[in-house]
Amino acid sequence: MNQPSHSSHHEDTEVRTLSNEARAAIDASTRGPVILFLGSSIFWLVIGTFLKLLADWQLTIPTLLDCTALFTYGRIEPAQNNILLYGWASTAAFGAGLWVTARLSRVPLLHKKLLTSAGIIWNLGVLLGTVGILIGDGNSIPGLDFPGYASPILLIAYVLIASWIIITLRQRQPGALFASQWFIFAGFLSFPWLYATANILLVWHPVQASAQGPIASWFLENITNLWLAPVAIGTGFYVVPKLVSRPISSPSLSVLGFWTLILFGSWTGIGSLMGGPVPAWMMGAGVAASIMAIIPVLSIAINLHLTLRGKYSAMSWSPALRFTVFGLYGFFFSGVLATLFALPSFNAVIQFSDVVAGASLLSLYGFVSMTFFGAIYYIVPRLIDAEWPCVKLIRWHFWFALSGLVLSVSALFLGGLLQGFAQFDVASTFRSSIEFVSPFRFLAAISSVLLLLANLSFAFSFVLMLLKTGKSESGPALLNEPTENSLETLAV
Amino acid sequence: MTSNTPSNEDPSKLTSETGEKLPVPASVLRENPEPTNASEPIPLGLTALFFVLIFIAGIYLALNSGGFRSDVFSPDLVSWSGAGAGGAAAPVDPKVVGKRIFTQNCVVCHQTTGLGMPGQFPPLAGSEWVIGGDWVGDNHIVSVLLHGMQGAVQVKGSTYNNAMPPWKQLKDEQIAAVLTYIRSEWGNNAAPISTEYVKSQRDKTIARTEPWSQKELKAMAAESAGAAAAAPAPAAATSSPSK
Repeated sequence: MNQPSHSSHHEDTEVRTLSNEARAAIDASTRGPVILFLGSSIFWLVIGTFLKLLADWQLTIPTLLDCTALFTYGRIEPAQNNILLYGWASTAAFGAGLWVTARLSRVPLLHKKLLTSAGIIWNLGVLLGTVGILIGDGNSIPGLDFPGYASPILLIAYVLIASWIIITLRQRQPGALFASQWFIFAGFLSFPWLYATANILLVWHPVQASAQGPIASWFLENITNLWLAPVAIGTGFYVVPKLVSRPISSPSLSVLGFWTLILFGSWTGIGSLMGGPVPAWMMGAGVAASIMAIIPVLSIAINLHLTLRGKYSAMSWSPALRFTVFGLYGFFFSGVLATLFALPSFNAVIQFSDVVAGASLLSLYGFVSMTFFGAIYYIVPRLIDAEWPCVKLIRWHFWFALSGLVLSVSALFLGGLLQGFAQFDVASTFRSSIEFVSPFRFLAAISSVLLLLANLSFAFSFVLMLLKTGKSESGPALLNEPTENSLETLAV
Repeated sequence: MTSNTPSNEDPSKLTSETGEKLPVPASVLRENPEPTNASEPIPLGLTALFFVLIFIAGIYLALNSGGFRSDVFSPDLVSWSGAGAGGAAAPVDPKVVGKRIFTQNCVVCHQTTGLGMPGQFPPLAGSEWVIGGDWVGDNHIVSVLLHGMQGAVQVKGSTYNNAMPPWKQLKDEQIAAVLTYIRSEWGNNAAPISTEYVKSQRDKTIARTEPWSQKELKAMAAESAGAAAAAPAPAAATSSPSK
C-alpha cells in the first residue's frame, strides 16, 4: 500500500497492526456503553444549550420568565453551566476515551453490563444535580453547583467508569503505549482527585472562608486543564493520524506537551485571584505557571500541525477532520489567550468582566466540544455500521457552531473589555460599566440561538443515525467532493 | 481493503464472545492503519522559546512571590531580605474617592463642570457656600449635605429656588471626601474637611429631620473646620454673623 514515503522509515511496525476483523470485534464490544455515553451526552448538550439560550436572553431581558423562581437567572445559569460540564463534555469524554483506549489497547471491553449500569447511574446523578440546582439547592460555586447529595452519585459512577479504562489499559496487547493512551489515562485519574477534593473542602465540610477562594479557582481551572483537555487531546492524537494516514510527527514533543500540561496546567487557576485575600506567592506562582502553560499549548498544537501539514485539504470533505482541526484551533487560541489574560496588567482590567465568560466559552465549546464532535463523527459509523445520513445537517452543525462561536466570543471579548475598563476607572459608576456591555450581551444572546441550532442539527443527525437511515452502501458522508487523490477519501 | 497490514495476532482472542464471525462495517474496512510515531526532533526554535519562557516565568516568580511568606499579601511590600513585611496599605486619596461619590450622586444637578444649571441648580465653582463667604462657614456646607436644603437661596448673586436632598445615608468619611473634592476642584481652593469634623456636625444636628432653609442657616454661627478640629469641644464662633 502506498504509505507516504517519509513515514515508513520510522514506524514501530511490530506493534501497530490490527486487522479489520479485530477492529470490528473491539467495536462490537464497546458499542453498547459508548453509544449510551455519546447519546446521553448529546441529550444533555441540547438541554444545556437551551438553558444557556434562556440565561443569555435573561441578561438582555431581565423580566423573561420571572414568574417562578425555577426559571430565574440565578438557577438557569449554573444549571446550564453544570449540564454542559458534566452532562455533555464529561459524558462525551467517557465515550470517546473508552473507545480510543479499547482500540489502542487492542482488547475488547469485558463485563460491559456493569459499565452500562455505571453510565446510567452517572446520568441519573447529572439529572438529580440539575433538578437540585433548579429547586434552589445549588452551591453557588462555579462548576460545583450540584448539591451535596448529587455529587457522591457522580463520584461512585465515575469510579466504576474509570476502572474500565484502567482494566482495559492493563489488559492491553504488548507494545509501547501511544500518546493518546497517556493523555486519556491521566485525565481519568485526575477527575476523582479534583472532584472529591473540591467537594469535601467546599461542599461537605467547608474549610475556613479565606481558603475557599483558592480551592474553588484551582478546581474550576483544572476541570478543564486536567480532565477535559487531556481526554480531548488524547482523542485528537488518535483521530488526526487515522484520518490523514500520517504518523504523529514528534514523539518528544508529545512527551513534553503531556508533562508540561500536567505540571503547569494544574497551577494556573490560582493566578486569577489577583487582589484577593490570598498570600502574594499564590498569585505569583499562578501567573508564572500561566506563562509556562504556553509550552504545552505550543507543543501539542505544533505537533498536530506538523502531522497535518500538507493534508489540511481533507478538512473540506471529512466532517470528523474538520471539527477536530477547529477544536485544535480552539485549543491553541484559548491556551494563548489564557496566558495573556493571566498577566497582571490584563487581569486587573478583565478580572470581573465578560471576557472571562468568553474565554471559558472558547475553551469549553471551541476546543473541547469541537474535538468531541469530530470524534463522534468518526466513531459512530464504526459502531453501528451505517453512514451519516444527511450531509446538510452536518454542514448546518458546522457553520452554525462556527458562526455562533465566533460571534459570541468576539462580542463577549469586546463588551468585556469596555466593561473592564469602565470598572477599572475610579470615576465611572458600576451602572455605566453595565451600560457599556449590554449591547454586546445582546449579540451574545443572538449567537446562542446559532449554537442551539447547531446542536439541534447535530442531535437530529445522531437520532437519524441510530435509526440507521444512512445505508452503508451509499458511501461515507462527505461535505465536498474530494480533490485529486482519491485514496484520502477512504479515511473519512 | 488493502491499506491495512495483515494481522499477526491470534484472531480467536478478538472475535465476539459467542465465537461468531462478525460483519465488518464499511467504515472499518476503509480505515487507515493504527496511528504510529515518526521520530522528528523538537524544533530548535521552539526549544529556545521554551527556555526563554521558563526564564521569564522564573524571574516573575522571584520578584512577585513576597518571599513565599504566608503573611505577605502584596508582593510590593517585601524584598528578598524579608524586611518590611506586613506594612499598611497606602492611604486612599480623599479627592479620588470624592470624585467618585460626586459622579455617582451630585453630577446630575451640579454638572461635571461644577457650574450647575442657570436658574435651576446653583454652581459649586466659586460658590461662597462651598469655599466660605461673609457669613457662611464650614459647618453650613456640612449641615446642608447632611440634611438637605429647600426654599430660596442666594448663590453668587443669583437666587435659586429648588430642593437639595439630604445625604445623611453617606458615611462621615464619604461626606468628608466629596466636600474635600468640591472644595479643591474647578478653581476652588479651600481647606479639606476631615471625617472627624463631619462626625461632630452630625452629632450636633442629630435631631434634625427637616431640610434647612437659608434663614435657619443664617442664624447659625459660622465655624471653620480647622479651628473646630483643633479644639476638643466645638469652639465658639470666631466671627459673629453679619446683620
